[in-house]
Amino acid sequence: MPAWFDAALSFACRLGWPAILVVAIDLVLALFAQHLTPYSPTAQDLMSANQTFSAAHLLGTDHLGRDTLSRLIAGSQTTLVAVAVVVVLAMLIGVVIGTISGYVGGWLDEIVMRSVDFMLSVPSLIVALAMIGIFGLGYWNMVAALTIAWIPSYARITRGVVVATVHQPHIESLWVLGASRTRLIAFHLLPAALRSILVYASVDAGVLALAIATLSFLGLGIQPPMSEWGEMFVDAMPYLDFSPRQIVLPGLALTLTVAGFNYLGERLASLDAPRAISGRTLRKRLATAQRLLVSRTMQ
Amino acid sequence: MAQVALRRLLSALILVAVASVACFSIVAVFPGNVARVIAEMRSSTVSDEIVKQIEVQYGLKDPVPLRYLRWAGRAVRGDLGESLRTGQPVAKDLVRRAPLTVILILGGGAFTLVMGMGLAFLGALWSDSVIDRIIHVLSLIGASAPKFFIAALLVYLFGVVFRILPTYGFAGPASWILPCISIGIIPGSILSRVARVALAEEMSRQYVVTAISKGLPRRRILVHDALPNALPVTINAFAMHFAFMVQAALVIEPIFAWQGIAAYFVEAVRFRDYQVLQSCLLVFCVFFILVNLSVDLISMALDPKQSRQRLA
Amino acid sequence: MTLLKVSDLVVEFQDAATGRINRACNQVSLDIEAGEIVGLVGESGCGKSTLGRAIVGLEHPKSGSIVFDGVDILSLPAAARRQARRRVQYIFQDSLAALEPRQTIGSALHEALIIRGERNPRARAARIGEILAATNLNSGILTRRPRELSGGQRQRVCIARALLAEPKLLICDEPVSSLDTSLRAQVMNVFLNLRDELGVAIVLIAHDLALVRQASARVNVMYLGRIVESGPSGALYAQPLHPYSRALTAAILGIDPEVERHREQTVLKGDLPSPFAPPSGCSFRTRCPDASDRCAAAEPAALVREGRSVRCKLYDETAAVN
Repeated sequence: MPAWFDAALSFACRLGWPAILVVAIDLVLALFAQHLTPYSPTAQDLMSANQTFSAAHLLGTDHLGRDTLSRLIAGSQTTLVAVAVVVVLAMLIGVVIGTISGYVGGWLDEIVMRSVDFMLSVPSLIVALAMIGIFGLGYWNMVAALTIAWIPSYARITRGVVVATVHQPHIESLWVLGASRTRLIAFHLLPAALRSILVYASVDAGVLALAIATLSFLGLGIQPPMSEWGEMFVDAMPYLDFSPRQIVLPGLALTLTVAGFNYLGERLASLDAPRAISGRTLRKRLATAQRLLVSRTMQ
Repeated sequence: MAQVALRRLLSALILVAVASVACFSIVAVFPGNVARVIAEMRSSTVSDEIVKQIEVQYGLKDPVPLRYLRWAGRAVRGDLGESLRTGQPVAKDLVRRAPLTVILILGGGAFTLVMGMGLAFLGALWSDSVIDRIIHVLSLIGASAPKFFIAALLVYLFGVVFRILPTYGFAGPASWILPCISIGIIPGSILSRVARVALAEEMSRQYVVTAISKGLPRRRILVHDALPNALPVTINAFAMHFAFMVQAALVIEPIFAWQGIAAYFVEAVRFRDYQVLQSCLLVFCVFFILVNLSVDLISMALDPKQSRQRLA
Repeated sequence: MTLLKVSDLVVEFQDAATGRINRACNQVSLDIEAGEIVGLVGESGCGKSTLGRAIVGLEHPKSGSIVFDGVDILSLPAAARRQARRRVQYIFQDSLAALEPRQTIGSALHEALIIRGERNPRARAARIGEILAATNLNSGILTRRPRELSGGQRQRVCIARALLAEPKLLICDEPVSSLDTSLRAQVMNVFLNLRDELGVAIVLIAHDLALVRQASARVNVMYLGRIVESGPSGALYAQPLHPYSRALTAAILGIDPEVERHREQTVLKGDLPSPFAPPSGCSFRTRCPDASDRCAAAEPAALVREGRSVRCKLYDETAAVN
């Protein structure tokens, strides 16, 4: 293995802690947003519009005089709540579909997986947009659209794990012992699937945060007056010439959050294998994570 | 070989048919009364009479398979219906807007390819140099940063700070540069990493060790042996990024105020203009299928082993 | 008393890509008495594992019958089949794969008893204690995970878990082939104890005739989905009838130089034919040193005499002459 790759790996390992820190800060901000915002994120004050960094407004104000720091904190809440809702919904539905499809097999599996593959061949964001076009604008419509667009990947991964596990000797020997179908699925197949799914979900959380920001940027996701990074970004675009601060801050917040989730996912992937993994396996895992990531990051 | 290619072509055609069904079914699953949505779009006062009239006019009461056949039949002849919002024929709008999106995607693809392959090759030429570091950092940023953020930074840098490139509108090649870089820079940085890893893998193989110990110069091995062998992986990665550029165009076109197909799609989503929505989706699906088809054919041509295996 | 009677069992696999059919078990018949150890020997790919898996229900036979403990299993509806098979257990070749990697040994053994409907944790612990003693394991392993045990320990854990189901028949698929030679005796002794003390009948599946010969009363030799010869292991080893059995016995390093000196050396030529396109007539004829034209014509019938059975044209003829 080339030396630069090792260096990159150790670099990634060192980045593990910052990643956890970023995600933790995000979570704290999101959980206690109401108590942490110095101003109301929606309070307008046209007298102090477009101010730069100052003691009163640490990160300045936007064109309506709203406090940028407060809006960033409120935005982290909006983003993480939406991400959590979509990930949980898509995961639950996807895992159930994937498990049933993989365990039952036959024509059901064939039909389910063909449609899943078809949906996966179209970028998820386009699927989500089409769904919004059907459902109309609004917070819950966006959540529903993203959930539908995100179900196939969870179903696919779960089904893959289930199909790989169901014929493994440890499942077969339980079957021979007389374990019921419910026991096999609930205690052995689902946990195995969930372990892989959780690793994927943590990378996916970053991708979803990006997707939500992109939808809001297009004016099709989170609607004002709710604060969201993508929405802050598009609000500030007309003032790019003289106040780039207003686009750099939400952009950085988003980039850091996504990067945090990505690294968390990679770390989880390596924790998933407690045994010493060879360099080759690790490289393969990273490549897979990278590929998953790349296919979803193209927003 | 020809037979395999033909079979691949046939399956692509079948996929197009499947895609058309999927795009059409968007209307079929449209919640609520489609006729009422159309009526509301035309005027603020909606009576049941007008709704009924629209139902008849659009044939909305006919069974779904019949409606699909009618729609598909027209689509094959180049008639994609009229936009519900503007009343303009969708096909005409698409043709008018196509050049912008095509230029954006082709230009972005070219930039991706040049940047990705260039960096990877330079990195392989002088391994462990500063270029490898750049590739690594770029791919880290590329995997996490939103496209619209990168695009806005580029606009600020070239349009506001240096004032050397137009940042707005579609007027001549100079105005194409920033959008194409904006759309191509993230996939380019990720591709550079993929290609670099593929090259590094090739260069660590036994045949390279043998060739070096025979006294062949590293550069020659890189160009003549490692590069062709690393190509299929790279091309597959590139194709994925290329196909996903449609998705990136959704944000890049609005930033530069380009009236392309992606912007048309976003508009259709906003106004729930399902005629435009399904037509755009169909165009996107055909594009994805075409990209996949050409990748398969290209990698088949590049890799004789693969085509032989498929024949067997 | 016949514990298990398999008659004319056919198991087929279809290759998903080409649609060709691989008949892994071709009209196999097999009898097992209660409390006896029976060997099943053949090369990899001959269908011996498939036969074992079909008996416990991991494969679905196309036709034939399996009578276990007086119950014709395949004629039962699916749910009742599993009930009827509860006292047949299976030991996998790879003991590491047969145990859930994240589960402690204790939890795996408890689960086996929970599956059997034992709700009382104390009763379960007591039962597990007994089984551990029977398989020469100490209770320290209960808190460990499969990866922390040695191969021999793991295989005995698998046997212990199977024993918790109180089996009358234990099917062991190459139980020791992944172990070091020094550990094999350990595990083989466990099998012998099981037979002697618990009266469990055991099918030993192996590719190595030497291993099976010591432990088992009778041996079945399988080739390309057919049982080509079966008989008492002593007689079969001393005087193999089928050319394939001759080749297998010739491959064993014997102890008695007198016997070995007079042993006919048969070395097989070529490889196992593709199971998707087996040769016509006798499936062994492509590699048989005694093959002749008539072998291609029709499949030889089984000739049964003095507790031995063989499928070969050689004996068909001698039978006719006699």
